[in-house]
Amino acid sequence: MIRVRSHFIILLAMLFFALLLIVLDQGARMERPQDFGQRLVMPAEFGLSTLTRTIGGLFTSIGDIGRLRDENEALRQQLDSLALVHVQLTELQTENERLRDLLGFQEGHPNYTLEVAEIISQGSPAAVVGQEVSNLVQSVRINQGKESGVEPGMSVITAYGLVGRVLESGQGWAKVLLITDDTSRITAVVQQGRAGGVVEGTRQGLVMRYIPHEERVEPNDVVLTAGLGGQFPKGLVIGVVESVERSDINPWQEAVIRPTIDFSQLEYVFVIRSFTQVSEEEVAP
Amino acid sequence: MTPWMGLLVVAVLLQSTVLSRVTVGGVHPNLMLAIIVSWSLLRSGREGLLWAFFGGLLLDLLSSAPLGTFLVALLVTAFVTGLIEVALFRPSLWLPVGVMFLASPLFHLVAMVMMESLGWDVTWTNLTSRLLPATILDALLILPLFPLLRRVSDMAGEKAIEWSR
Repeated sequence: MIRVRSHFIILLAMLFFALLLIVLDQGARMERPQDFGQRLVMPAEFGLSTLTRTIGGLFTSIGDIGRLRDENEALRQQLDSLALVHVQLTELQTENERLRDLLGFQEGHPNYTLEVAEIISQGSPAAVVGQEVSNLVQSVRINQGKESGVEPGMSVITAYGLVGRVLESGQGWAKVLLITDDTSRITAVVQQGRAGGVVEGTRQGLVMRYIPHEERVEPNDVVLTAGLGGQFPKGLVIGVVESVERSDINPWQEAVIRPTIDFSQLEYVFVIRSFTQVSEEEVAP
Repeated sequence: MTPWMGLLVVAVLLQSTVLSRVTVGGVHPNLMLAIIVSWSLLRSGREGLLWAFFGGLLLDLLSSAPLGTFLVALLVTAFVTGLIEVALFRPSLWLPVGVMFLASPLFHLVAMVMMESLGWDVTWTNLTSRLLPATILDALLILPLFPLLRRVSDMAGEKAIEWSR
């Protein structure tokens, strides 16, 4: 009994210290210790991460598997890049049509002030150093931070689509919350039918909810960021519609979205440092 | 504080680089939790608390969850596991597996409460389907880990409790 009591006192003392750390962190006074800790751990973590990928690669390269894998990878990359070009061209075409409509709309409604948003700059590539250490959050850490202008809220992408947004950053590191996290909500639009909705993370994938019942959404349609709310720039690829669930009694449809990115294989990402709103005058000829 | 606590640094590095890629049913095993539970059972609850403190700090450093989440969750788990160690006289080697079925949900629930109270938008639905795979993986991980840590404990000396082999 005395032993339990002594353990309980130790627990209380440690919980008090934990509370102190939490209070300091809430007041943003833990940045330096965190930077120091990250700087200590990151080199070893980066080395181990590279080693893991190399060893993982070695296991799959036994015998002829390597050649087939390379060939398959080259073809997949070719297909992905063509798919990406196709998506971008279709999006540009749709955007062109929309801007024409917008100009006509503006001429008919001179009292409206309209603005069109566009991505104008992208950041430098960052290497993914480590994955999330718990089962409660879906995130990765990257080796670019405040010194490169990486700040919380910025969008993180790869050539294949949206990865997530920066949650926290320090000197030489940043934590990126993946779009598959439970807390992730993105206003999105289906490229083909322009149906809107909200893409939510489900840990194992993505679901697009609140799609109006009358909108037409089909498997293999591409889902893009809508750019509403200013959290993400518009037009970033989120994923592809896998299946759609409709019901006569529900005013909304739901679609299961297959991300275009394999989040477990992330190596390098881009951080969008800024995207500026282009005024309507700049768009007009 | 012993040099063996360096194992916690190795554990957190392995967790973020290797084990985080081992995903079954959307979850991965938690090496740090398995080490803390094992150490609390093998050694005194006091040592378990000390290891939980440093292990929790390391997890918080590398996680995107708010600072303090895993520190508090591991401390509470180590304390409860320490009580089991005190209460049982001749524990069998299957005990760690059984204890993990209590420790893993407790650890995750305390962490979720911490995250919620620190302003994180925690999803409480489908709790069983989310915690059960993690608990099973953690219980599987402690099976090979426990005998290894028992050897480490033997090397560290001053065992708190004698385990049947």
